[in-house]
Amino acid sequence: MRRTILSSMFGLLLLCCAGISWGDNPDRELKRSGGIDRTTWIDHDKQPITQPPEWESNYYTGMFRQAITDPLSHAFDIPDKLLIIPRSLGAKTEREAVNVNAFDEVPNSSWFTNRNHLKAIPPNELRKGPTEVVLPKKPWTIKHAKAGGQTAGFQIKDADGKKWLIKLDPAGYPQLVSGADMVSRTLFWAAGYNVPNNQPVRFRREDLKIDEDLLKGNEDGEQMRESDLAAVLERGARFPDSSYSALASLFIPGEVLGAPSMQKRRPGDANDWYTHNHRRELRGMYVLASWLNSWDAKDQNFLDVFVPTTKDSLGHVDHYVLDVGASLGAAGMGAREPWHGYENTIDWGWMARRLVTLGFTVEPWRHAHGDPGIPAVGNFESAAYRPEQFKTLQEQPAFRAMSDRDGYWGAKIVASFSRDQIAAAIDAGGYEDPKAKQYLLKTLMERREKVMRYWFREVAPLDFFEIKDGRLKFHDLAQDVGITGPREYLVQIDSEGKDDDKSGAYRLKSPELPLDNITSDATHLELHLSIAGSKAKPVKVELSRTAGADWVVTWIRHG
Amino acid sequence: MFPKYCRLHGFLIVGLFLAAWVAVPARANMASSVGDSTNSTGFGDTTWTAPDPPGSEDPSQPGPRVAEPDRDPTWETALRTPFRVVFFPMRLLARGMELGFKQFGGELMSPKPPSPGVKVGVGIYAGSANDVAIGPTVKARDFLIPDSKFGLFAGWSITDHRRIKLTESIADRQPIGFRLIGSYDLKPNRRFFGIGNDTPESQRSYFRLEDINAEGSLLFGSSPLQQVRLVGGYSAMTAKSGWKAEPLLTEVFPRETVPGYGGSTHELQYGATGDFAMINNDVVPSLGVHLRTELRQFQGIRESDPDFNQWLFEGRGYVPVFAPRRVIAVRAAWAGVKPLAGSAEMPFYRLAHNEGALAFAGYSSRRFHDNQLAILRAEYRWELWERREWTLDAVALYELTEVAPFSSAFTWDKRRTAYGGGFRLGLSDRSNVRLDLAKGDEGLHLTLRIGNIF
Repeated sequence: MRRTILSSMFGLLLLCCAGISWGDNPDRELKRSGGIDRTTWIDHDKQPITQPPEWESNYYTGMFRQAITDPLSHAFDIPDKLLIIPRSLGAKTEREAVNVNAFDEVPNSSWFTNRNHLKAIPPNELRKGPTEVVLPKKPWTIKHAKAGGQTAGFQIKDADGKKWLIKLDPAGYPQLVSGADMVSRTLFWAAGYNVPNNQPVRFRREDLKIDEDLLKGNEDGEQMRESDLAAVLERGARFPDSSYSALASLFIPGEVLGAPSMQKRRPGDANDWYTHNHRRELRGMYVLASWLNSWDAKDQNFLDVFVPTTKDSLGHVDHYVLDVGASLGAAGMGAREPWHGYENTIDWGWMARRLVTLGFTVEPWRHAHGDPGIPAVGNFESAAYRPEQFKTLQEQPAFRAMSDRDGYWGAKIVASFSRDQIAAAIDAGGYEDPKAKQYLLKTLMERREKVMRYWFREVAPLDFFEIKDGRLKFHDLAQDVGITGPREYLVQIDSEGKDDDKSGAYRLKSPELPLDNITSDATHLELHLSIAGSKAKPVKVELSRTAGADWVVTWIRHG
Repeated sequence: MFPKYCRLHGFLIVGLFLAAWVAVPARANMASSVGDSTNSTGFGDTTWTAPDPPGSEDPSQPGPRVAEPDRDPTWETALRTPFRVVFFPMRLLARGMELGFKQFGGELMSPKPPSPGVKVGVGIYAGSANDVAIGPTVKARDFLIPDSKFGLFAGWSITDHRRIKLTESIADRQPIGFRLIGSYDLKPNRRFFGIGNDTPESQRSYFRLEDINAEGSLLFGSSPLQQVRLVGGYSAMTAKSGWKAEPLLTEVFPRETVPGYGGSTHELQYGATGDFAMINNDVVPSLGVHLRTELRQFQGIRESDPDFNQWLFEGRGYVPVFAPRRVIAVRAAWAGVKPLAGSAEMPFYRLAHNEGALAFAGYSSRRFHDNQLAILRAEYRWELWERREWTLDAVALYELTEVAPFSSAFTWDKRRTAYGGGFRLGLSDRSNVRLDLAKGDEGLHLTLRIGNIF
């Protein structure tokens, strides 16, 4: 009897697990008319769907999960420990990102659009960002208080009837958060992510009026009296002429669905095929966030918006990087705290190190002296910066899942920004202090170099392969960006076809490989390219002959 | 045609010119080394275009996807399923805790500034691990009296510990303020081991203590660390046969050998207490001195009630070890009671004993009773975690303690020692949380304390 009960319970548990896994599988709703094409540069994920229900990743649940549950789960993840054995024998058990095309790139989608690393954005366009510069026209009517976040502010309707969120810079630090947000969001946009239309603004008390309903107390029980507004403004930074320094963020058009979870898909979104922590653009974002010191990249700083596109209210979900103000040297309350970017809020690893060393361990951030005495910059530096040691406040599941391949892709995007482009992004911050601009440019360039040196040492930065004049040509990105001189490359070739005698290893003195000299009869080549004398992981490139006997690149994988 | 030296000079000049012609662009290249490749046409330039960049096709048009939806590989599912089944209860527990944190996390992590008005809720009081009380709370701010705070908690624990506590403070954190505390506390299983430093642990017994207390304080000084308090109030205590634990006191000690057992005492008390701190950080001091004192006189209301003085002198000192995050902290405390001339006999429950702020590391609470009590403790504290106003320190401690009937009876030979470690979470200048595991002469003891403790 007891055995029967136990067996039934076991079976029930299995059914529950199976049910959970089936219930979580969106395949049943998918439209598969377009099929799968690994060579596509467009991931067609904006197919018309009904509006998904509002669902938001909860901040406190996420905090508890990432601080307590996940570390414990990982500590007691027995299968993961078992996999150490095959891993030590060379088996690859880590899961690579899913939404990657045959050329090791991320196709355009509702999350990401290939921009600067494939076609450089002219600096004057980059400075403008995603849209033409539109500023909130005064006077501003305050409709609501600002909910959440550390910065003070309010929601307004401008003289043109547009809705904006106004975020004040912290008292004593004019242009600190607004400047950091503008620089970072401009670079995030140029990298390929969707960002809102933000603008740095300055205003005076007389530019504001409190909405009549809000003054009396609106239907939601919300009230803002003159004294409440004075208290909000008290927390804001002012310029020498007494005007306030702030960031204005235009409301994103569409129906707000809430913050997505980086750990799973959005419920009800049939276009959302890939678990978010297996998306390349979210994993590789780590490198960009590390470069820009975007230390608060939590779920709540992303936003999903439903955009109706048809008459019958069908539409798709767009995914935005919403708030990157906590970056560079900025924090909501003032200059960034020294440990921001170096430790999680609850960092068990560092706590354990301090415990066993009786507090005598010296954390890297204690050596990071990043306060140049410029209020608009806050606390930002490059000397102690180590690109691979960057940490966000809450550990991001997508960042944790990042592989070397994803990291290399992120580094490629960071490396694609030229000095002129970075200067243009800093210009978008509207800094009034020229010292702030100079310091940020110098620091970002130094950090960029560290990012490139680290990742291009891990993975051979050989990219952008093309067949030209019977040769396979490629770029050595490290050489292109000037961190190394001319060098030699090693190619291991495996061929398929009538004549495979030419299979073997070759040494190249320049980034090109004459194909016809190597093999005349092969129909398929598999090349493993590496850098002579370097331990960087090689690049795998596959070539096939077309019907017209021309070679085409069919597959690329870095690392 | 030209003299030899002219030809030589000519070659030199041409050579130098050529060298300069080659070197200048080389220098220019060096200057535009890392990333400053504006003038070249490679990757990372402002004119860069990758070979065959993607077109601008709209993802909303019908078309293919780049990959199938992702799911766990079959081998991984097969490997993980047995563990998922085994750990299913833990996952349920974790999800439950996450839901709880979703509900109360905001209040815990980002408490909103208190707003005026009356609020009713549920409160928890943890006396010890098995003495967790839950009950209703009423909190009011600026209710009837401006700049006032009112609090009422009534709780009943799983060990039948009943507690009611009322607090009212007016002009808190002002130069002059007032505080009223009233409490009723009934615990049916308080410990008693006998009176003196040498009582054996095997004499552990239990009794019921009912404690009613009301105290008003006039506060001078806005900071609790720089404050003098004039206090006065009423105290009634009753010690009788207990329950929820065995053996009972009368099963271990003859009734007549335990002064005050079976009866009650009613006292009026008055006096002064104070804190005088010169420390560099109110929550986690690393340098400075903190002196504390309490002087009270108790007057029995009835003839059978004792008249006595009660005192506490305490000093705390802090010295950093090369950095404020590593601190050596020392504490010395001397507390006691002294009956006045002609007083009735002191009941055992009003003697000095190790409990609350005077707890001994490595010994159970109320392990020792006597007229006087002394504590000497040294700690090494080091910071593990610091976020905003919260700081978690690890602590290694060594403590000497003793109780004695009078001051000259304290002897080095009779000292009790304990050593151990723990954690100290600094919350505010009034409150911190300590979890200590210490080994005394009688074994290991785990203690959890919350309040204004060392």
